[in-house]
Amino acid sequence: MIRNFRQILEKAQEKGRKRVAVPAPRSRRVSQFLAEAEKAGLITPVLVNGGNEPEVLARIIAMARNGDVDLLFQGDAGMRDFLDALTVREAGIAESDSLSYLSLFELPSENRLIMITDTLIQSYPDMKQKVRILENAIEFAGILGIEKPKTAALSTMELVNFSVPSSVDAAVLAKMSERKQLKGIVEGPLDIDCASSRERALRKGLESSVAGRVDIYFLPNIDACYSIAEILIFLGRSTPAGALMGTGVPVVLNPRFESSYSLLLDTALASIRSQEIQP
Amino acid sequence: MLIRSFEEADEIAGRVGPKKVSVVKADNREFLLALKEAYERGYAEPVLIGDERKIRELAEEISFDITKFAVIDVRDPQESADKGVQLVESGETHFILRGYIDGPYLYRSLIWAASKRGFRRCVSGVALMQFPVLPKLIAVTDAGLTVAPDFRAKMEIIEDAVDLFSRFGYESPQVGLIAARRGLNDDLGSVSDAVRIREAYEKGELPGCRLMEGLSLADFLLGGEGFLDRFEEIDYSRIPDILIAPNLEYGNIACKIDNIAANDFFSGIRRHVIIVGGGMPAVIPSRSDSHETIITDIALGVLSS
Repeated sequence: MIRNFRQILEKAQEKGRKRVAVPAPRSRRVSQFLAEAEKAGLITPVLVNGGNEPEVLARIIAMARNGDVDLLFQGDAGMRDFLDALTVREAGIAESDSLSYLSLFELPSENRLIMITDTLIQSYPDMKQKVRILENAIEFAGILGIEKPKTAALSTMELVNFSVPSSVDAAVLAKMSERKQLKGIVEGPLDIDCASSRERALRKGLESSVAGRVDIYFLPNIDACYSIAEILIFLGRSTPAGALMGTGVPVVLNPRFESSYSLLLDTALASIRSQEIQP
Repeated sequence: MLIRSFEEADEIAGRVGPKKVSVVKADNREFLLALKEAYERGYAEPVLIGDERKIRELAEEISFDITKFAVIDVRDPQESADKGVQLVESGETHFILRGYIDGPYLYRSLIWAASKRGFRRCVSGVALMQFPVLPKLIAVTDAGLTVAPDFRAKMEIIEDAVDLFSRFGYESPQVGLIAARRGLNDDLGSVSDAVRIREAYEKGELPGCRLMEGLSLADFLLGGEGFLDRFEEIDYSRIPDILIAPNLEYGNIACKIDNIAANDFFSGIRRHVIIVGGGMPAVIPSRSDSHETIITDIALGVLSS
């Protein structure tokens, strides 16, 4: 099982270099990162230029589809343009409803990783999309070697409250898990108090097998998830690693809240994942 | 008299006090210990509401002489909360300390009090938070009382938080609206609320504060276009004083964020919640808080009333 960022980098380095298609960099951040990743033995960058941005994006996606490269990197392309290019039908890489983003954080005191999702893509997911986001997260946990990830479907309290739709949805997800419609163990609704401490959960009369040992925090909407990730990063000064899930070819994004070290981790994760999804 | 930390709040409350506090359900040892010390420090004189026999027994145990304070014998939690609110309304006390009672009883009493005044709909929780990495206190509001805050509710939530900060000595506190705008152009309600709030602000409808540009911590700390590079390069003084939650879930989780990684990146965080919008401040320690923590809640009650 992968328990920290160092192991992510080591495992990716063992897998050898991956060919990464990227729009030719315009920023120092992206060009420096590519140099670092190459130096770290993770990638061989394939810079694509010529033509306007949509043409460049179409070309790198075609390269991935044809197997000329192993991974894609957003580079300096706009987030919207890049995701649109990935999800157009002709690209054959992903459907927009199937995409979700995971942010991983290290808990050194417990020697393990936690994930929160969806930190970037789906805005106010409906039930079907929530199931997709969870399936993506559970699949990702499997890549880290976590067989039955413990997932907290978060809301604002541990009880179902019809005025708070996220609590109702969380209860449905938990029931689906109980009936084995989802892999892993999903419990909900849980508030952050109960999810993060077995003791506090017990004090509220809650016997929960995930309380205090959560691998995946599932947050109900983007306003909560993106913005909570920002608090973890900026106010906790905690480095995230990120993964875009739901794509046929591993893809590395370039979000504002990730440093170039995070991008290195993202690339390592994508590299590890590329082994899993090779035909 | 600008309050930029809980330490300053503790220090200044002694100079501003003593004020009178309605203690809603005072029959608990930790609360009485806190009230004893708050009285000795000159912060506050309590009106003790709850099980009178038990209050007197516990006070004797901790050698707290309560002969000069009113003790009101009410056992029912809703009646205690109502009584505490009435005392502030009639001017006998200045603020409320939630004792050993479930939050919803008190929120209900405060919402009734607010609705009697006719024009307000929103009672909100302002979570004051001290992060080791920040040079000042920040607030997150609403920390989870208003179920689905719309534009109107958010306007009230901002006004009430700004009013609280003006009591803390801030002339024009900085307000930051939070929403997950991330370049994907999806139609988020939080973003359209933010646009309307900015329009209202520009028309002068939110006096006494400064509405900051941007919608996320990245915007506030890195500027509109910046990417995170190294934490050491971030100027943390750029964070707004007051962060406005886009929805219930954010408010609820943000104010308890330290639970996620208490032993790692959030050790040393401190938090106190003040309920505003009911026409009177109410401080609400949690049941597991020690009396030292409750004393700071009382100090904040003194300073916000």
